[in-house]
Amino acid sequence: MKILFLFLYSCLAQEVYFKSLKGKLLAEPKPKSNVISELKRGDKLSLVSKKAGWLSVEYDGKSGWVAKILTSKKPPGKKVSLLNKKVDLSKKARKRASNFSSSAAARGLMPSKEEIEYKMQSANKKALKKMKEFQISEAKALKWFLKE
Amino acid sequence: MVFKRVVFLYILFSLPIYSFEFRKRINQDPNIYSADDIRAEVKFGETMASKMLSKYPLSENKVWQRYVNAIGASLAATIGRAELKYYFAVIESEDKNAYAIPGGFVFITSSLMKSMTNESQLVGVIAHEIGHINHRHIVKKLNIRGQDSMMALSSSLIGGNTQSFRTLMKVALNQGMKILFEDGYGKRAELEADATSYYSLVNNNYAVSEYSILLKDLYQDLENVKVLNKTHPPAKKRIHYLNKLLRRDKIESTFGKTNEKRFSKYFNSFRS
Amino acid sequence: MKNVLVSILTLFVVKSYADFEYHKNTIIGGRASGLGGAYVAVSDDVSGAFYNPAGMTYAQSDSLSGSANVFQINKSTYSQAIGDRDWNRDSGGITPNFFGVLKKHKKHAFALVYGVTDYYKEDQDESYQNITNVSSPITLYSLNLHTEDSVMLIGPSYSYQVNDNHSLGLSLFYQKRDYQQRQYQHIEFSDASDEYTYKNLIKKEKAIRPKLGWQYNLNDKWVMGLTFAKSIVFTAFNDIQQGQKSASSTGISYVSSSNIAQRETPYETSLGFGYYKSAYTLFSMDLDYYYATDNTKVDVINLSFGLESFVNQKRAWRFGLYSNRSNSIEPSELTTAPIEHVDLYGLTLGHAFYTPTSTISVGVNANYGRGEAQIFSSSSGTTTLEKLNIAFVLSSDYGF
Repeated sequence: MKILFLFLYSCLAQEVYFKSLKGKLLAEPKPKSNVISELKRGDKLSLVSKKAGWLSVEYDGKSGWVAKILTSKKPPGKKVSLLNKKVDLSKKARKRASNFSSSAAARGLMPSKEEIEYKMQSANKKALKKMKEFQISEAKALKWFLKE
Repeated sequence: MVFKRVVFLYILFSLPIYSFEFRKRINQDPNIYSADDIRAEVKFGETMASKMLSKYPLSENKVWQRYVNAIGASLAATIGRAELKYYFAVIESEDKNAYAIPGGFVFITSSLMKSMTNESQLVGVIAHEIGHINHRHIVKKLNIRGQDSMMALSSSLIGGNTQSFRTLMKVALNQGMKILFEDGYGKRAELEADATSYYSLVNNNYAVSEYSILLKDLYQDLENVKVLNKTHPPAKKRIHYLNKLLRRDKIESTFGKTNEKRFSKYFNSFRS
Repeated sequence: MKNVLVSILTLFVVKSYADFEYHKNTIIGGRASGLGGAYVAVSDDVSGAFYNPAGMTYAQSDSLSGSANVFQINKSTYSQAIGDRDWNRDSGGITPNFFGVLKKHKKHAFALVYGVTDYYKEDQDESYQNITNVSSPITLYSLNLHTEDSVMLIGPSYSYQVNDNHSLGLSLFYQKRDYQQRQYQHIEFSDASDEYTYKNLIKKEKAIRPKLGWQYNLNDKWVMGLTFAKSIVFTAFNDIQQGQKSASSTGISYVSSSNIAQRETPYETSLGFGYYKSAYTLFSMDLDYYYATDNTKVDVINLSFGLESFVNQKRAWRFGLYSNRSNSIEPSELTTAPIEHVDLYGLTLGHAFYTPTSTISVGVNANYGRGEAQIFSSSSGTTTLEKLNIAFVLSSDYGF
């Protein structure tokens, strides 16, 4: 009877996923409490109850608490990348701009607004590229972060 | 032109988001989003980030850039959205402020960096910005959604040739910049982001009180407060909210580390 | 009492279809047609202009919508009306149902809509041979009946969100009705005498139809809606031309007349409730009351219920039940043909496919009723009349 109840309960139990790259299952809903188990991104947890910013869960047969902010309702997805960067809409738009500016140039007018914008755009793209180069891997950073 | 799977950004905007959210059906739920929606968000964010960088140059201080990225990446690893790549940078500006752009781009001004005195404050600030990105505040307000490739062609036939797409993008960008620099995200959004700071600080054993001190200092700067009050709720309200959370969780106000030692290592030679 | 087809002079008095006998012949719009037309407390899209313009201000975005009855069957069966045989009247076809554009601006919403609230097209060319068990046996009876009836609405609609709880709206439609019926009936009796009649009937009507609406968000689960409407006829034209020859005469007697008598239209009010159980489930209920000003008609109360249930973000089921009751008086000793009273009860089922910017809905609307009809001018006896109507609806909405 107990087994049936547990089975039904586990069927009905809500599931949450551990979102953080690394973390801990704690004995109490307090940041400095004892560690029951280590958790990693993607681990499936069975939700038992909620309390303020904490969730009481079951993982791998053990009960404990995790900080709610480290969890998500859906399984954490893979990092999204923009596909097919070759087909870039702004490229098409540039074509139009040059059509316009070539006729303007033919008329001896100032470089078009689009041309100036385009020049600025490429400068900003450089800065954006630089910003992306600053990025540190999450695993590496976290290791450093958790050192006192 | 070979059309493989192309991401068409389809932006719906100028829609006030009603408080009677209950009338929205699940297909309209802004809290449910697809992979295409994420790609649209990143595409939009990249364009907005480069626009930001045209306004403010990147700081030459490589040490700051490295420090901010180390803390940022660690927070992203723990509380960030797993599907996003987060990027962090310090920009040169007189305003003591930080900006979160959809798609995972976080900017902190050099002036704000100079106002900080310990690592707890930096963690609070970065977590706050990550909070805006996690809650998709700008994405929801501007209704930025992706279009799966099946619909992309039909939409381009009906409404979206590239010229008008550029116009749409321009308008959305302007609206996004307006949110950052004039209107703000809204009081509820700011407190949600402060809550992210709170949980990040507490779960990593940092002092929440230091973040509150930073907030107080920022609003006391007469030059800065004008900008802040336009886009954020008053300091009092924000600090009151943080204290409420501390009381709820029975955490002492003196609790938490500041990591001043590590902080000074990165700050000493550059403080002026 | 059994009725018999005895002479052409006591022939069927063919009732013009609808004749504004019903108030819910077509359920406008893809979503409403899945919900049994219970839309007064929802109406949060461009089709809301027809149900409750106050709801349009809650529309998600600007949009373009259209729907059509891609296949429609209307069947009326007068039981044993021709000797032992039933007389069937059918109509069918493909009809556009609704088209609309909605534009939002902050708290305002504007729409321009076109709808066909009634469409009936009947082509009947029947002949019956050797009708016995009548007082004068009939060798041949032929009936040619062609009827076309349509009611169209077109006009602007405006909606305004007064505050978080209330919204108001007004639709102003131009309503046009075009009806024409041509009938020819011929009886050849077994003694070689014959009778025939032909009739050409035209009815045209132009009206202005304002509809005032209010919606109230009671709390975060319930919405209430209330509307008032009336069709105000400003032009009418009715023309009849009739010729007949009886068995005993040799000539045709001819009558024609026309008038500009305007129909007395009912005052209409609807009360609706919406229960927004969750982001997946919505229940709606409408009560419509039509107060007749024409003393040849009766007041009507209609009820409708709808349920919309989302499977996921991309698909939803819709189900509805409704009544479409007749405003005609019941045939009796005191009435003369043509009178028929059949209350219809219907069921709707629909399925919607969603993408972030568009929706396609498919659905079916079926109703059935059984009542009495007085179809013989010579007697007050009645025939049992059964009606069955089925429509397949296809609609799409595009948001931008």
